[in-house]
Amino acid sequence: MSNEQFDDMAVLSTVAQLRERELLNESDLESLGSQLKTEWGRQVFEDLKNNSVPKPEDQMLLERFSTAFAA
Amino acid sequence: MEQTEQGSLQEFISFVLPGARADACPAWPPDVFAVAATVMKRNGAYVQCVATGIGSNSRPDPLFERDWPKQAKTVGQTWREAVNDALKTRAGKGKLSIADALGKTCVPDDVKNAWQTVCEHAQVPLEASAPDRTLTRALIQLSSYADEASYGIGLGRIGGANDQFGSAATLFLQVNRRQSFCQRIDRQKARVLGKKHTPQQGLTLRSLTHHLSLCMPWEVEPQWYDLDAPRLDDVLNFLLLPWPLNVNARDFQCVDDTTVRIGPREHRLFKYEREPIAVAKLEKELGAAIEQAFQRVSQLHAIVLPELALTCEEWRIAERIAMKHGVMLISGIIDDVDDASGLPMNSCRIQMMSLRSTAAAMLKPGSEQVPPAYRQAKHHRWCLDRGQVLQYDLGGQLPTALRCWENSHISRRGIFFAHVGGWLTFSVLICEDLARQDPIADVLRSVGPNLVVALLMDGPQLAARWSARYASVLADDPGSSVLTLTSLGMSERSRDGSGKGGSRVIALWKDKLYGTREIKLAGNSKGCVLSLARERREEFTADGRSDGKNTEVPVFAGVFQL
Repeated sequence: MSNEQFDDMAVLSTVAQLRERELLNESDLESLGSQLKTEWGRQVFEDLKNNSVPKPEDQMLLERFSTAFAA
Repeated sequence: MEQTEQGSLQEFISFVLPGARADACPAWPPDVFAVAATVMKRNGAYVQCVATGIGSNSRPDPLFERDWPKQAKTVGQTWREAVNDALKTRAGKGKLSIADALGKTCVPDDVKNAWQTVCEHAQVPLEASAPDRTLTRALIQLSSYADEASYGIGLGRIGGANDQFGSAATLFLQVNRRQSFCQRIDRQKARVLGKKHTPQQGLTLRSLTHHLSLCMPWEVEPQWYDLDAPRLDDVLNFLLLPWPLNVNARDFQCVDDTTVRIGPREHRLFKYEREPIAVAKLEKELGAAIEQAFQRVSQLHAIVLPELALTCEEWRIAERIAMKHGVMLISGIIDDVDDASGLPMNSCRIQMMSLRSTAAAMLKPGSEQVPPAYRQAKHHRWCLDRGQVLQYDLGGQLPTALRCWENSHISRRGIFFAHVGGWLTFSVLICEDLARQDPIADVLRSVGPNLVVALLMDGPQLAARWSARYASVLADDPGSSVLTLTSLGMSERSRDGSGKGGSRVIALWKDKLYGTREIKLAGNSKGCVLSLARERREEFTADGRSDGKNTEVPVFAGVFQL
């Protein structure tokens, strides 16, 4: 039973919110990134990882998907 | 711990936590709990938390002093603060990883002493370890300290943004693929999840904690999600739509004319299929039901449909409507297929993202894309025997002389627990899964979600029927409230022993505080709104610790006909 995109949303939520709280170092970030299962998830993760200020289109992605779960 | 004797406590602990040492108590409370709880799960020593007297002149000899609950809470809180301090000062960008920062935690002496006591018993054979009161006391201490330290784990941002403990728990949960909050314990050896209910009857390992549950890593894969949704009010309103409203006997068909032989027994496979609902009709009927519901209540939180209620295409339409209204959608799916095998599969879907405050905005303008829903497969096939074929008047379609099994693929069993809105933690079961609770029973009871929704393709939901009996089991232990919902079509088709049918009792509610309620559709009603209220109750662990009246129980609060 696949819930890959749903699961990736949960991982990305954690990345976005822990990064916002400045709790993530490089090793934690990579641990979370390695959990992603979809191409979409990996793309959003790269955007999150590389942009200190997300581009407008990334911001849209984040708003829509990546803060859905508590962290 | 150095030498390993076969069958010793040391061998067992080293399996669960490789490299465990007496002078290095793990800093992360769920890890310590996992070690203590798995030992007690094996040796059963936890039963000693309730003292027994020897005779009429002998007073019970309890393991703990009178002030134990207070002491456990104090140690747990100190431990939580120590974890927060370590993470706050040492973890983050350009600093240590969360795991490494945890290693710098000043673990309270009481915890370290109990850990050391356990490790000093390393050479004791596990099977003979239960009578050792010193060891048992230390194991229960570790379990209870870890439990108190883990208050609110997996249940939103209980401690606010400054509660780094919660952030670390979320990180470990994701790294463990949402199956465990442990840091050092492999999820294939033991899993630790959050918890909503502590059983108040009987005495099991589950009786020992309020906040942490031990889920053994057997065949069922639990999934824990903590949705960041606005806090739910004390009142919840669920729109119950018992679709399909009519079920035709011809919708039940044998899959082919080949009899399947398994050993000496003969079986047939059957499928349920119906004509799809036209898009315009679906939009109109669902929209009308929601509109009618909003005439009676100002807030609607979920739309629930029974097992096999919607096709995948109909789900997509219903999902968009639910998203627009900010309402959660739960429904059984008729025509789902297993991704890996391509075989037909009875499943349900749950769209929770609609509960978020930005739900409507999450729909991209001009796009059909909505956030993904969660899918869960049914764990057991429905088997229609002669009695049921007659009960549902299907004798013209299915052979009564053979057992007819639902043509649904069974894959790896999983069950999800979703925490939403600050106080509701729910799971969904599909029909047979409520009656045949193995193999999920252990996980379900360990976590004790405060709401279980069972989607059925069944007869009327009468208090005397099977679904009420199994709902009572869950309401009793762990204490979950249970909603069962079937279709009006199946409810009306069902005939009792005297041939009487046409019942409109489409749902049943059971909670541990006020008991059972049959939910019957009146007159020409096509659905109803079930109102639930949150009540707080106090629960105690078997070692006497209170949860501070923080157990939240959804209870029946009314039904409004549409």
